[in-house]
Amino acid sequence: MRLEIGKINITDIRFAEESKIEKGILYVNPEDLKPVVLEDEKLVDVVFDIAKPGESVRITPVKDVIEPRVKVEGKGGIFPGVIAKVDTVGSGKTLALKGMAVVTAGRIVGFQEGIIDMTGVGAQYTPFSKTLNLCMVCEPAPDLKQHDYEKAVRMAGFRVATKIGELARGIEPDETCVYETLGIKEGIEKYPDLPRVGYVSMLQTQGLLHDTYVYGVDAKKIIPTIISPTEAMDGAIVSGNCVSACDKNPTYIHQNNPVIEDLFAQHGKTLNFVCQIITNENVYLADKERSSNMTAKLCRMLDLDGVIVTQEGFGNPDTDLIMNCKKIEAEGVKTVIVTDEYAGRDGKSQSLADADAAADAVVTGGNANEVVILPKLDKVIGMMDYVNKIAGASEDTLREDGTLEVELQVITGATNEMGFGLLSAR
Amino acid sequence: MKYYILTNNPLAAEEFGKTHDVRTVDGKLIDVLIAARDQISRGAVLLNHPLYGSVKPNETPFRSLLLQQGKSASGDAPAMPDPESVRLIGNAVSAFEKFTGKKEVADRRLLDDFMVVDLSLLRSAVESADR
Repeated sequence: MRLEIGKINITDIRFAEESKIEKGILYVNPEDLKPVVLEDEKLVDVVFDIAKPGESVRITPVKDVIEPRVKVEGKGGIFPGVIAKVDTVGSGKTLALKGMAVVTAGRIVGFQEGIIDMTGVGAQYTPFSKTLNLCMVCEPAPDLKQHDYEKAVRMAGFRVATKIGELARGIEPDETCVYETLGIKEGIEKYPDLPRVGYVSMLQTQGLLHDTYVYGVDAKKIIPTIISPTEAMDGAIVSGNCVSACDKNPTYIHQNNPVIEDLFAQHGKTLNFVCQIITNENVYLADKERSSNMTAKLCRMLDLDGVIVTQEGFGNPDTDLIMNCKKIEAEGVKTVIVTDEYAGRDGKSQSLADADAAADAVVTGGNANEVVILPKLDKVIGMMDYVNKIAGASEDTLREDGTLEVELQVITGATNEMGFGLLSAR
Repeated sequence: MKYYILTNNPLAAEEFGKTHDVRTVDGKLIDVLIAARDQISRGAVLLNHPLYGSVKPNETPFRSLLLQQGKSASGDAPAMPDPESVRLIGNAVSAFEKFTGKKEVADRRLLDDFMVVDLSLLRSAVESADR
Protein backbone atom coordinates (compact mmCIF):
# COMPACT_ATOMS: atom_id res chain seq x y z
CA MET A 1 0.00 0.00 0.00
CA ARG A 2 1.22 3.46 -0.87
CA LEU A 3 0.18 6.56 1.04
CA GLU A 4 1.27 10.14 0.47
CA ILE A 5 1.05 12.44 3.45
CA GLY A 6 0.94 16.07 2.39
CA LYS A 7 2.03 18.21 5.31
CA ILE A 8 0.54 21.66 5.71
CA ASN A 9 2.49 23.59 8.31
CA ILE A 10 0.20 25.58 10.58
CA THR A 11 2.02 28.56 12.08
CA ASP A 12 -0.84 30.15 14.04
CA ILE A 13 -4.45 29.58 15.07
CA ARG A 14 -6.78 32.58 15.38
CA PHE A 15 -10.46 32.98 16.11
CA ALA A 16 -12.17 34.74 13.20
CA GLU A 17 -15.48 35.23 11.41
CA GLU A 18 -14.64 32.77 8.67
CA SER A 19 -13.11 29.35 9.27
CA LYS A 20 -10.33 28.80 6.75
CA ILE A 21 -6.64 28.11 6.29
CA GLU A 22 -4.64 30.87 4.64
CA LYS A 23 -0.88 31.19 4.37
CA GLY A 24 -0.37 28.60 7.08
CA ILE A 25 -2.74 30.28 9.52
CA LEU A 26 -5.80 28.41 10.73
CA TYR A 27 -8.74 30.78 11.26
CA VAL A 28 -11.56 29.28 13.30
CA ASN A 29 -15.01 30.54 14.09
CA PRO A 30 -16.05 28.67 17.24
CA GLU A 31 -19.67 29.16 16.21
CA ASP A 32 -19.00 26.89 13.23
CA LEU A 33 -17.68 24.19 15.53
CA LYS A 34 -20.18 24.41 18.38
CA PRO A 35 -23.02 22.69 16.48
CA VAL A 36 -20.58 19.93 15.50
CA VAL A 37 -20.03 19.21 19.19
CA LEU A 38 -23.56 19.81 20.42
CA GLU A 39 -25.22 17.58 17.83
CA ASP A 40 -24.74 14.98 20.55
CA GLU A 41 -27.37 15.74 23.17
CA LYS A 42 -25.14 14.22 25.84
CA LEU A 43 -23.05 17.39 25.67
CA VAL A 44 -24.75 20.63 26.70
CA ASP A 45 -21.95 23.13 26.19
CA VAL A 46 -18.46 23.48 24.81
CA VAL A 47 -15.87 26.23 25.19
CA PHE A 48 -13.12 26.58 22.62
CA ASP A 49 -9.77 28.12 23.47
CA ILE A 50 -6.32 28.33 21.92
CA ALA A 51 -3.06 27.47 23.67
CA LYS A 52 0.23 28.35 22.00
CA PRO A 53 3.76 27.16 22.73
CA GLY A 54 5.48 29.34 25.30
CA GLU A 55 2.27 30.81 26.75
CA SER A 56 1.66 30.65 30.48
CA VAL A 57 -1.21 28.21 30.01
CA ARG A 58 -2.08 24.88 31.58
CA ILE A 59 -4.62 22.57 29.92
CA THR A 60 -6.25 20.08 32.29
CA PRO A 61 -7.91 17.57 32.58
CA VAL A 62 -6.79 16.48 29.09
CA LYS A 63 -8.52 13.52 27.51
CA ASP A 64 -7.38 13.10 23.90
CA VAL A 65 -5.14 14.87 21.39
CA ILE A 66 -5.97 14.62 17.69
CA GLU A 67 -4.29 15.82 14.50
CA PRO A 68 -6.73 17.14 11.87
CA ARG A 69 -6.36 15.33 8.55
CA VAL A 70 -8.34 14.97 5.36
CA LYS A 71 -8.25 12.29 2.71
CA VAL A 72 -8.04 13.79 -0.77
CA GLU A 73 -7.24 10.74 -2.92
CA GLY A 74 -7.78 7.03 -2.49
CA LYS A 75 -10.34 4.93 -0.71
CA GLY A 76 -12.17 5.95 2.43
CA GLY A 77 -11.98 8.87 4.79
CA ILE A 78 -10.28 9.79 8.05
CA PHE A 79 -11.36 7.79 11.13
CA PRO A 80 -12.94 4.95 9.13
CA GLY A 81 -15.73 3.13 10.93
CA VAL A 82 -15.94 5.99 13.39
CA ILE A 83 -16.53 9.15 11.33
CA ALA A 84 -16.03 7.99 7.72
CA LYS A 85 -17.44 4.77 6.23
CA VAL A 86 -15.49 1.60 6.92
CA ASP A 87 -13.55 1.54 3.63
CA THR A 88 -9.99 0.31 3.98
CA VAL A 89 -7.74 3.35 4.30
CA GLY A 90 -3.97 3.72 4.06
CA SER A 91 -3.52 4.36 0.36
CA GLY A 92 -3.84 7.41 -1.87
CA LYS A 93 -3.22 10.87 -0.49
CA THR A 94 -3.94 12.46 2.87
CA LEU A 95 -3.35 16.03 3.98
CA ALA A 96 -2.27 16.63 7.58
CA LEU A 97 -2.24 19.88 9.54
CA LYS A 98 1.19 19.82 11.14
CA GLY A 99 2.19 21.86 14.17
CA MET A 100 -1.30 21.88 15.64
CA ALA A 101 -3.69 19.61 17.50
CA VAL A 102 -7.25 19.42 18.74
CA VAL A 103 -7.19 18.80 22.49
CA THR A 104 -10.31 17.52 24.25
CA ALA A 105 -10.66 18.35 27.93
CA GLY A 106 -13.24 17.96 30.66
CA ARG A 107 -13.77 15.93 33.78
CA ILE A 108 -14.53 12.33 32.90
CA VAL A 109 -13.01 10.17 35.57
CA GLY A 110 -11.34 12.32 38.15
CA PHE A 111 -8.12 10.40 38.46
CA GLN A 112 -7.05 9.46 34.97
CA GLU A 113 -6.70 12.64 32.99
CA GLY A 114 -3.65 14.65 32.10
CA ILE A 115 -1.93 18.01 32.19
CA ILE A 116 -0.38 19.88 29.26
CA ASP A 117 1.71 22.91 30.26
CA MET A 118 2.65 25.24 27.43
CA THR A 119 5.64 26.69 29.30
CA GLY A 120 7.96 25.87 32.20
CA VAL A 121 9.19 22.51 33.42
CA GLY A 122 6.02 20.65 32.39
CA ALA A 123 6.38 21.87 28.80
CA GLN A 124 9.76 20.16 28.62
CA TYR A 125 8.06 16.83 29.25
CA THR A 126 4.92 16.93 27.12
CA PRO A 127 5.29 16.79 23.34
CA PHE A 128 2.04 18.73 23.09
CA SER A 129 3.62 21.92 24.43
CA LYS A 130 5.16 22.23 20.97
CA THR A 131 1.86 22.21 19.09
CA LEU A 132 -0.66 25.01 18.67
CA ASN A 133 -3.60 23.54 20.53
CA LEU A 134 -7.22 24.16 19.73
CA CYS A 135 -8.79 23.11 23.02
CA MET A 136 -12.39 22.11 23.56
CA VAL A 137 -13.75 21.82 27.08
CA CYS A 138 -16.99 19.86 26.94
CA GLU A 139 -19.78 20.11 29.50
CA PRO A 140 -21.86 16.94 29.97
CA ALA A 141 -25.62 16.75 30.37
CA PRO A 142 -26.61 16.39 34.03
CA ASP A 143 -26.23 12.90 35.51
CA LEU A 144 -24.44 11.55 32.46
CA LYS A 145 -22.59 8.33 33.29
CA GLN A 146 -18.80 8.42 33.00
CA HIS A 147 -18.56 6.01 30.07
CA ASP A 148 -21.27 7.89 28.12
CA TYR A 149 -19.41 11.13 28.74
CA GLU A 150 -16.13 9.57 27.60
CA LYS A 151 -17.73 8.39 24.37
CA ALA A 152 -19.43 11.74 23.76
CA VAL A 153 -16.17 13.69 24.23
CA ARG A 154 -14.19 11.16 22.20
CA MET A 155 -16.60 11.38 19.26
CA ALA A 156 -16.92 15.18 19.50
CA GLY A 157 -13.13 15.46 19.25
CA PHE A 158 -13.08 13.37 16.08
CA ARG A 159 -15.93 15.35 14.54
CA VAL A 160 -14.19 18.66 15.24
CA ALA A 161 -10.82 17.38 13.97
CA THR A 162 -12.53 16.12 10.81
CA LYS A 163 -14.29 19.46 10.26
CA ILE A 164 -10.98 21.32 10.64
CA GLY A 165 -9.19 18.79 8.44
CA GLU A 166 -11.72 19.52 5.69
CA LEU A 167 -10.47 23.13 5.61
CA ALA A 168 -7.21 21.76 4.18
CA ARG A 169 -8.88 20.26 1.11
CA GLY A 170 -7.47 21.93 -1.99
CA ILE A 171 -4.48 23.45 -0.21
CA GLU A 172 -1.02 22.74 -1.59
CA PRO A 173 1.08 20.96 1.06
CA ASP A 174 4.42 22.39 2.20
CA GLU A 175 6.00 18.96 2.06
CA THR A 176 4.97 15.48 0.93
CA CYS A 177 6.18 12.18 2.40
CA VAL A 178 5.54 8.83 0.74
CA TYR A 179 5.08 5.62 2.73
CA GLU A 180 4.85 2.29 0.96
CA THR A 181 4.71 -1.30 2.11
CA LEU A 182 4.87 -4.21 -0.30
CA GLY A 183 3.05 -7.52 -0.52
CA ILE A 184 4.84 -10.46 1.13
CA LYS A 185 6.22 -11.93 -2.12
CA GLU A 186 7.04 -8.53 -3.62
CA GLY A 187 8.96 -7.55 -0.50
CA ILE A 188 11.04 -10.72 -0.44
CA GLU A 189 11.88 -10.31 -4.13
CA LYS A 190 12.71 -6.63 -3.87
CA TYR A 191 14.74 -6.82 -0.67
CA PRO A 192 16.09 -10.38 -0.58
CA ASP A 193 19.00 -9.47 1.70
CA LEU A 194 17.25 -7.22 4.18
CA PRO A 195 15.89 -8.47 7.51
CA ARG A 196 12.11 -8.68 7.61
CA VAL A 197 10.85 -6.52 10.45
CA GLY A 198 7.35 -6.13 11.86
CA TYR A 199 5.80 -3.86 14.45
CA VAL A 200 3.62 -5.36 17.18
CA SER A 201 1.39 -2.66 18.51
CA MET A 202 -0.42 -3.50 21.76
CA LEU A 203 -3.63 -1.58 22.17
CA GLN A 204 -5.16 -0.65 25.52
CA THR A 205 -8.33 -2.77 25.84
CA GLN A 206 -9.11 -3.50 29.45
CA GLY A 207 -12.74 -2.48 29.51
CA LEU A 208 -14.94 0.57 29.46
CA LEU A 209 -12.90 3.77 29.70
CA HIS A 210 -9.83 1.69 28.84
CA ASP A 211 -10.50 0.87 25.21
CA THR A 212 -9.06 1.45 21.76
CA TYR A 213 -11.01 1.18 18.53
CA VAL A 214 -9.86 -0.19 15.17
CA TYR A 215 -12.12 0.74 12.25
CA GLY A 216 -14.74 1.39 14.92
CA VAL A 217 -14.39 -2.05 16.49
CA ASP A 218 -13.59 -2.39 20.17
CA ALA A 219 -10.10 -3.95 19.99
CA LYS A 220 -10.82 -5.98 23.13
CA LYS A 221 -12.84 -8.28 20.92
CA ILE A 222 -10.37 -8.77 18.09
CA ILE A 223 -8.01 -11.63 17.49
CA PRO A 224 -4.58 -10.17 16.65
CA THR A 225 -4.36 -9.26 13.01
CA ILE A 226 -2.11 -7.50 10.53
CA ILE A 227 -2.67 -4.07 9.03
CA SER A 228 -0.64 -1.83 6.79
CA PRO A 229 1.12 0.77 8.94
CA THR A 230 -0.32 3.45 6.63
CA GLU A 231 -3.83 2.60 7.83
CA ALA A 232 -3.02 4.01 11.26
CA MET A 233 -1.94 7.26 9.59
CA ASP A 234 -5.48 7.64 8.24
CA GLY A 235 -7.02 7.24 11.68
CA ALA A 236 -7.87 3.51 11.58
CA ILE A 237 -6.82 3.29 15.26
CA VAL A 238 -8.34 5.74 17.75
CA SER A 239 -7.95 6.16 21.47
CA GLY A 240 -10.93 5.80 23.80
CA ASN A 241 -9.27 5.50 27.13
CA CYS A 242 -8.63 7.19 30.41
CA VAL A 243 -5.40 5.63 31.64
CA SER A 244 -2.49 7.50 33.20
CA ALA A 245 -1.67 10.52 31.07
CA CYS A 246 2.06 9.95 30.76
CA ASP A 247 1.81 6.63 28.98
CA LYS A 248 -1.48 6.67 27.20
CA ASN A 249 -1.42 6.77 23.44
CA PRO A 250 -3.68 9.62 22.35
CA THR A 251 -5.12 9.39 18.84
CA TYR A 252 -2.48 11.91 17.67
CA ILE A 253 0.28 9.42 18.48
CA HIS A 254 -1.48 6.59 16.64
CA GLN A 255 -1.65 8.94 13.63
CA ASN A 256 2.02 9.94 14.05
CA ASN A 257 3.41 6.71 15.48
CA PRO A 258 7.18 7.24 15.82
CA VAL A 259 7.93 3.50 15.59
CA ILE A 260 6.19 3.40 12.22
CA GLU A 261 7.93 6.61 11.10
CA ASP A 262 11.36 5.26 12.06
CA LEU A 263 10.77 1.85 10.49
CA PHE A 264 9.68 3.52 7.26
CA ALA A 265 12.81 5.69 7.38
CA GLN A 266 14.89 2.49 7.31
CA HIS A 267 12.57 0.59 4.93
CA GLY A 268 14.51 -0.63 1.88
CA LYS A 269 17.80 0.55 3.39
CA THR A 270 18.61 -1.53 6.45
CA LEU A 271 15.37 -3.50 6.79
CA ASN A 272 12.18 -4.54 5.06
CA PHE A 273 9.23 -3.16 7.07
CA VAL A 274 6.64 -5.86 6.49
CA CYS A 275 3.55 -4.88 8.47
CA GLN A 276 1.97 -3.77 11.72
CA ILE A 277 0.45 -6.46 13.92
CA ILE A 278 -2.22 -5.19 16.29
CA THR A 279 -3.05 -7.02 19.48
CA ASN A 280 -4.84 -6.23 22.74
CA GLU A 281 -4.35 -6.03 26.51
CA ASN A 282 -7.40 -7.66 28.06
CA VAL A 283 -7.81 -8.18 31.80
CA TYR A 284 -8.81 -11.84 31.51
CA LEU A 285 -5.77 -14.08 31.66
CA ALA A 286 -7.02 -16.62 29.10
CA ASP A 287 -7.54 -13.72 26.64
CA LYS A 288 -3.91 -12.73 27.17
CA GLU A 289 -2.76 -16.27 26.43
CA ARG A 290 -4.84 -16.44 23.26
CA SER A 291 -3.74 -13.06 21.93
CA SER A 292 -0.04 -13.58 22.64
CA ASN A 293 -0.19 -17.06 21.06
CA MET A 294 -1.75 -15.59 17.95
CA THR A 295 0.70 -12.69 17.79
CA ALA A 296 3.69 -15.03 18.03
CA LYS A 297 2.17 -17.30 15.39
CA LEU A 298 1.64 -14.37 13.01
CA CYS A 299 5.28 -13.31 13.44
CA ARG A 300 6.36 -16.83 12.52
CA MET A 301 3.96 -17.21 9.59
CA LEU A 302 5.17 -13.90 8.15
CA ASP A 303 8.76 -15.18 8.45
CA LEU A 304 9.78 -12.08 10.36
CA ASP A 305 13.36 -11.78 11.56
CA GLY A 306 12.57 -9.21 14.19
CA VAL A 307 9.79 -7.13 15.71
CA ILE A 308 9.43 -4.02 17.80
CA VAL A 309 6.72 -4.36 20.47
CA THR A 310 5.08 -1.36 22.13
CA GLN A 311 2.54 -1.35 24.95
CA GLU A 312 0.10 1.10 26.52
CA GLY A 313 -0.33 1.40 30.27
CA PHE A 314 1.16 -0.17 33.38
CA GLY A 315 0.62 -3.37 35.37
CA ASN A 316 -1.86 -5.52 33.51
CA PRO A 317 -0.32 -4.67 30.08
CA ASP A 318 3.17 -5.54 31.39
CA THR A 319 2.04 -9.16 31.49
CA ASP A 320 0.89 -9.01 27.85
CA LEU A 321 4.16 -7.33 26.90
CA ILE A 322 6.24 -10.06 28.48
CA MET A 323 4.01 -12.85 27.13
CA ASN A 324 4.36 -11.40 23.62
CA CYS A 325 8.10 -10.99 23.97
CA LYS A 326 8.65 -14.49 25.35
CA LYS A 327 6.48 -16.27 22.81
CA ILE A 328 7.74 -14.31 19.81
CA GLU A 329 11.35 -14.97 20.84
CA ALA A 330 10.49 -18.67 21.24
CA GLU A 331 9.47 -18.63 17.56
CA GLY A 332 12.99 -17.53 16.69
CA VAL A 333 12.02 -13.90 16.04
CA LYS A 334 14.10 -11.24 17.77
CA THR A 335 12.23 -8.63 19.80
CA VAL A 336 12.85 -5.14 21.09
CA ILE A 337 10.24 -3.94 23.58
CA VAL A 338 9.35 -0.31 24.19
CA THR A 339 7.83 0.60 27.55
CA ASP A 340 8.12 3.10 30.38
CA GLU A 341 8.92 2.49 34.01
CA TYR A 342 7.23 2.76 37.39
CA ALA A 343 10.42 2.43 39.34
CA GLY A 344 9.33 4.40 42.41
CA ARG A 345 10.19 8.02 43.22
CA ASP A 346 13.85 7.12 43.79
CA GLY A 347 13.97 5.00 40.60
CA LYS A 348 15.29 2.00 42.51
CA SER A 349 12.32 -0.38 42.36
CA GLN A 350 11.59 -2.94 39.68
CA SER A 351 10.33 -1.02 36.66
CA LEU A 352 7.71 -3.37 35.28
CA ALA A 353 5.17 -5.59 37.00
CA ASP A 354 6.43 -8.55 34.99
CA ALA A 355 9.76 -9.71 33.55
CA ASP A 356 11.49 -12.47 31.63
CA ALA A 357 15.02 -13.26 30.50
CA ALA A 358 13.82 -13.12 26.86
CA ALA A 359 13.20 -9.38 27.29
CA ASP A 360 16.86 -8.53 26.83
CA ALA A 361 16.40 -5.55 24.51
CA VAL A 362 14.30 -2.83 26.11
CA VAL A 363 13.81 0.82 25.24
CA THR A 364 12.39 2.96 28.05
CA GLY A 365 10.32 6.12 27.84
CA GLY A 366 11.40 7.13 31.36
CA ASN A 367 10.35 6.72 34.99
CA ALA A 368 6.73 7.85 35.45
CA ASN A 369 7.23 8.13 39.22
CA GLU A 370 9.88 10.83 38.91
CA VAL A 371 8.81 13.94 40.82
CA VAL A 372 8.75 17.37 39.22
CA ILE A 373 7.58 20.78 40.42
CA LEU A 374 5.35 22.56 37.96
CA PRO A 375 5.17 26.35 38.20
CA LYS A 376 2.00 28.31 38.79
CA LEU A 377 0.74 29.41 35.39
CA ASP A 378 -1.40 32.42 34.52
CA LYS A 379 -4.24 30.70 32.74
CA VAL A 380 -6.00 27.37 32.99
CA ILE A 381 -7.97 25.89 30.13
CA GLY A 382 -10.34 23.39 31.72
CA MET A 383 -10.35 23.24 35.50
CA MET A 384 -7.93 22.75 38.37
CA ASP A 385 -10.46 20.78 40.45
CA TYR A 386 -8.70 17.51 39.77
CA VAL A 387 -5.00 18.31 40.01
CA ASN A 388 -4.83 16.80 43.49
CA LYS A 389 -6.61 13.69 42.35
CA ILE A 390 -5.19 12.51 39.08
CA ALA A 391 -2.82 9.56 39.00
CA GLY A 392 0.62 10.83 39.99
CA ALA A 393 -0.71 13.62 42.18
CA SER A 394 -1.65 13.61 45.86
CA GLU A 395 -3.46 15.66 48.50
CA ASP A 396 -0.27 17.71 48.84
CA THR A 397 0.18 18.40 45.14
CA LEU A 398 -1.15 21.96 45.08
CA ARG A 399 1.31 23.88 47.23
CA GLU A 400 0.73 27.19 49.02
CA ASP A 401 2.64 29.19 46.42
CA GLY A 402 0.49 27.73 43.64
CA THR A 403 3.15 25.37 42.31
CA LEU A 404 2.38 21.69 41.81
CA GLU A 405 4.41 18.79 43.10
CA VAL A 406 3.61 15.84 40.85
CA GLU A 407 4.96 12.67 39.38
CA LEU A 408 5.57 12.61 35.61
CA GLN A 409 2.47 10.39 35.40
CA VAL A 410 0.23 13.45 35.29
CA ILE A 411 1.83 14.96 32.19
CA THR A 412 0.28 13.93 28.89
CA GLY A 413 2.77 12.00 26.78
CA ALA A 414 5.70 12.43 29.21
CA THR A 415 6.83 8.80 29.17
CA ASN A 416 5.00 7.64 26.07
CA GLU A 417 5.52 3.95 25.35
CA MET A 418 5.74 4.39 21.59
CA GLY A 419 8.70 6.68 22.16
CA PHE A 420 6.82 9.85 21.28
CA GLY A 421 8.00 11.61 24.44
CA LEU A 422 10.82 14.11 24.80
CA LEU A 423 12.86 12.28 27.44
CA SER A 424 16.26 11.02 26.39
CA ALA A 425 19.42 9.72 28.01
CA ARG A 426 21.45 11.68 25.49
CA MET B 1 -16.98 -22.27 34.21
CA LYS B 2 -17.42 -22.11 37.95
CA TYR B 3 -15.59 -19.28 39.59
CA TYR B 4 -16.10 -16.69 42.28
CA ILE B 5 -15.57 -12.96 42.55
CA LEU B 6 -13.46 -11.66 45.42
CA THR B 7 -14.06 -7.94 45.88
CA ASN B 8 -14.20 -4.97 48.20
CA ASN B 9 -16.22 -2.93 45.71
CA PRO B 10 -19.83 -2.50 46.88
CA LEU B 11 -20.98 -1.92 43.28
CA ALA B 12 -19.56 -5.29 42.22
CA ALA B 13 -21.49 -7.08 44.95
CA GLU B 14 -24.60 -5.16 43.96
CA GLU B 15 -24.34 -6.00 40.26
CA PHE B 16 -23.20 -9.62 40.43
CA GLY B 17 -24.49 -10.72 43.85
CA LYS B 18 -27.57 -12.44 42.46
CA THR B 19 -26.03 -14.14 39.45
CA HIS B 20 -22.52 -14.98 40.62
CA ASP B 21 -20.68 -16.26 43.67
CA VAL B 22 -19.48 -12.99 45.18
CA ARG B 23 -17.26 -13.11 48.26
CA THR B 24 -16.76 -9.69 49.75
CA VAL B 25 -13.67 -8.55 51.57
CA ASP B 26 -14.27 -5.94 54.22
CA GLY B 27 -11.10 -3.98 53.79
CA LYS B 28 -8.75 -2.13 51.49
CA LEU B 29 -7.28 -3.04 48.12
CA ILE B 30 -4.28 -4.70 49.76
CA ASP B 31 -6.64 -6.84 51.85
CA VAL B 32 -8.23 -8.18 48.66
CA LEU B 33 -4.80 -9.00 47.24
CA ILE B 34 -3.71 -10.72 50.43
CA ALA B 35 -6.96 -12.69 50.72
CA ALA B 36 -6.48 -13.79 47.10
CA ARG B 37 -2.87 -14.72 47.81
CA ASP B 38 -3.99 -16.91 50.73
CA GLN B 39 -6.61 -18.61 48.61
CA ILE B 40 -4.13 -19.10 45.75
CA SER B 41 -1.72 -20.74 48.18
CA ARG B 42 -4.52 -23.21 48.92
CA GLY B 43 -5.07 -23.99 45.24
CA ALA B 44 -7.33 -21.25 43.87
CA VAL B 45 -6.50 -20.12 40.33
CA LEU B 46 -6.52 -16.47 39.30
CA LEU B 47 -8.56 -15.69 36.17
CA ASN B 48 -8.02 -11.94 35.72
CA HIS B 49 -4.96 -9.77 36.10
CA PRO B 50 -4.61 -8.32 39.61
CA LEU B 51 -3.12 -5.05 38.30
CA TYR B 52 -5.87 -4.33 35.80
CA GLY B 53 -6.92 -0.81 35.00
CA SER B 54 -3.46 0.69 34.83
CA VAL B 55 -4.58 2.28 38.06
CA LYS B 56 -1.61 2.06 40.33
CA PRO B 57 -2.09 0.28 43.62
CA ASN B 58 -2.44 2.89 46.35
CA GLU B 59 -4.43 5.07 43.98
CA THR B 60 -7.68 3.15 43.72
CA PRO B 61 -9.16 1.70 46.91
CA PHE B 62 -11.05 -1.06 45.03
CA ARG B 63 -10.16 -4.39 43.50
CA SER B 64 -12.26 -7.25 42.15
CA LEU B 65 -10.65 -10.57 41.31
CA LEU B 66 -11.99 -13.66 39.57
CA LEU B 67 -10.81 -16.92 41.10
CA GLN B 68 -11.48 -20.54 40.38
CA GLN B 69 -11.40 -23.03 43.21
CA GLY B 70 -8.55 -25.47 42.51
CA LYS B 71 -8.88 -29.20 42.98
CA SER B 72 -6.19 -31.81 43.45
CA ALA B 73 -6.06 -34.73 41.04
CA SER B 74 -7.57 -37.12 43.58
CA GLY B 75 -10.02 -34.55 44.89
CA ASP B 76 -9.33 -35.30 48.54
CA ALA B 77 -6.00 -33.57 49.16
CA PRO B 78 -5.48 -29.78 49.05
CA ALA B 79 -4.70 -28.58 45.51
CA MET B 80 -1.17 -27.52 44.61
CA PRO B 81 -0.78 -23.77 44.10
CA ASP B 82 -0.92 -22.67 40.46
CA PRO B 83 2.54 -21.23 39.69
CA GLU B 84 1.30 -18.53 37.31
CA SER B 85 -1.29 -17.31 39.84
CA VAL B 86 1.35 -17.31 42.59
CA ARG B 87 3.67 -15.24 40.40
CA LEU B 88 1.02 -12.71 39.36
CA ILE B 89 -0.39 -12.14 42.83
CA GLY B 90 3.15 -11.91 44.26
CA ASN B 91 4.05 -9.25 41.69
CA ALA B 92 0.84 -7.37 42.46
CA VAL B 93 1.54 -7.32 46.21
CA SER B 94 5.13 -6.15 45.53
CA ALA B 95 3.86 -3.44 43.19
CA PHE B 96 1.48 -2.28 45.89
CA GLU B 97 4.25 -2.08 48.46
CA LYS B 98 6.56 -0.22 46.08
CA PHE B 99 4.38 2.82 45.63
CA THR B 100 4.58 5.42 48.31
CA GLY B 101 1.54 5.70 50.52
CA LYS B 102 -1.14 8.19 49.65
CA LYS B 103 -3.84 9.48 51.88
CA GLU B 104 -7.07 7.57 51.67
CA VAL B 105 -9.52 8.89 49.12
CA ALA B 106 -12.24 10.83 50.90
CA ASP B 107 -13.84 12.67 47.99
CA ARG B 108 -17.22 11.02 47.42
CA ARG B 109 -17.30 11.74 43.69
CA LEU B 110 -13.81 10.36 43.22
CA LEU B 111 -14.68 7.23 45.20
CA ASP B 112 -17.66 6.81 42.91
CA ASP B 113 -15.36 7.09 39.85
CA PHE B 114 -13.06 4.44 41.28
CA MET B 115 -15.99 2.11 41.98
CA VAL B 116 -17.41 2.59 38.49
CA VAL B 117 -14.08 1.97 36.77
CA ASP B 118 -13.44 -1.10 38.92
CA LEU B 119 -16.90 -2.40 38.05
CA SER B 120 -16.46 -1.78 34.33
CA LEU B 121 -13.16 -3.67 34.31
CA LEU B 122 -14.72 -6.50 36.32
CA ARG B 123 -17.54 -6.67 33.77
CA SER B 124 -14.93 -7.01 31.04
CA ALA B 125 -13.41 -10.03 32.85
CA VAL B 126 -16.80 -11.60 33.64
CA GLU B 127 -17.82 -11.25 30.00
CA SER B 128 -14.76 -13.26 28.98
CA ALA B 129 -15.25 -15.84 31.73
CA ASP B 130 -18.93 -16.43 30.95
CA ARG B 131 -18.67 -16.83 27.21
